[in-house]
Amino acid sequence: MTEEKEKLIELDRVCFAYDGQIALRYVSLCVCKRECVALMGDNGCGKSTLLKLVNGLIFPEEGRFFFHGREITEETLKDSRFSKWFHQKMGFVFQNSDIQLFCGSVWEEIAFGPRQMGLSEEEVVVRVEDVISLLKLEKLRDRAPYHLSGGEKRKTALACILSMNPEVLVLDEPLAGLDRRTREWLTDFLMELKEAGKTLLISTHDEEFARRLADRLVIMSEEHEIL
Amino acid sequence: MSDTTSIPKWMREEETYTPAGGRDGFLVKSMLRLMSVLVKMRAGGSIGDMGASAPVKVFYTLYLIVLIACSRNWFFSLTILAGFLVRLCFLPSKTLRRCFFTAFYAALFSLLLMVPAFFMGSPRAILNIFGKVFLSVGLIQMLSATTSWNRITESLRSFCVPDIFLFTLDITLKYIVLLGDICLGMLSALSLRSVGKNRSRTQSFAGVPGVAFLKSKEMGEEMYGAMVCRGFEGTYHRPRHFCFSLKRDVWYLLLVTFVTIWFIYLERAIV
Repeated sequence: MTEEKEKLIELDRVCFAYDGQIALRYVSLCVCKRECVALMGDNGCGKSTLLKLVNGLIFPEEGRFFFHGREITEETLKDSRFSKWFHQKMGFVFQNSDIQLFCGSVWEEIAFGPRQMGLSEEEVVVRVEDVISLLKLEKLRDRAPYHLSGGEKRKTALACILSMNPEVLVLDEPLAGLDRRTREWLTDFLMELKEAGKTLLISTHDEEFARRLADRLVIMSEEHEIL
Repeated sequence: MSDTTSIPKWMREEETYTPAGGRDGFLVKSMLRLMSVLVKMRAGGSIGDMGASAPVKVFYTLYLIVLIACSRNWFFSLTILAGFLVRLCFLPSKTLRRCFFTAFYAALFSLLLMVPAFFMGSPRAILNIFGKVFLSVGLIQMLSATTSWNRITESLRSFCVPDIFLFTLDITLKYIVLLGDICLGMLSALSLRSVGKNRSRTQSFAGVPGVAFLKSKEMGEEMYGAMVCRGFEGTYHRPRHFCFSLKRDVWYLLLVTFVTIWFIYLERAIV
């Protein structure tokens, strides 16, 4: 007997263009709860655009995008309450960690999300300490995020998303620029997150990483379509 | 050393977070504003303008502005205004609106500054300044809409502006776009994580320019290192490639001639 899986993300023939330059052409994609989907394709095929769209940073010019069965449009995200609910559910780790870190210290950075959610200071401390020990950031807690190394910044960016406990983790090329040991660690860590019930949508160029981690590979073509 | 981790209990459970309503207009507005500036800088000059070369257009625009400023005959400004409005009508609606309203608001501001002149017995001067400011700003707007930034700076070399100055100008424009991209990315990240009541909105927002400043320092140092590695010693020379094409620039030449004759004729009429 096959269990009917709950659909979290549904893209229905979505198109998007930057100033007439097509980035997504009739893309249809469905990501179910607790599923791990790896998005692959050459540079410029539209992977990052797709991830931005899924996070509500840009909106389809054609087609529709649903999250938990609710359509995500510019209009629906104008509703502040809905927008905040949506952004809490979707955790986006940018490819460039620099742009994601803006607080004075790593600890403050990780605490930003839980504080936003209105958690009590005790709960915030618990979450931040848990995430710090989970990602082994103890030595960095008081450091300014700007002065960290590339790998440390990536870990901090992941930590500040995890502290918000999102339902879906969207990672844009998480292995880019990392050394072999950190890549190994991150792969194992994402496997653990997947086993813990998180839904993962990851864009990557690393086929081995994708095959090891993902339930499904989605390949995008140079024509900005899903193959 | 073992690298195994254990996911905490709260992370395994589904979050039952219900956000309270609240405004986040400040962030959204900042993002939109920044985005529009970047789009303008990138899209600058994307509109064709009868294929004229950039130095000719720059010269024509500056020449017109000087004539408008020197003109004592109100009729001259009116003629240029008519021509400007006709040319404006051939631009796409978005560009038309941008050119018109930027010029209009600048003129309005000058009008405010000139209010005392009205009470001091020079009401005519107010209208005169209003029209001149509107035309000058409008012409610059039209130039930037029809000529890309790099072509404008390139064309300045034809007017014997020092290479090092233009090089600095080019780099400045490039880094405005690059740092703007960084700021936009940070504002997006901030807005994605702003999922509740932001008690320290200004504090977190202040981090954006702070990081952009540090990043600009880092980028500047990296660029200097790269330039030194390529033999940069403080001087910079680029060959001038501009060659005048009668077929391409004839329209502007005719305009310059007509405007000059018209200007001289009207100025003599006053005398």
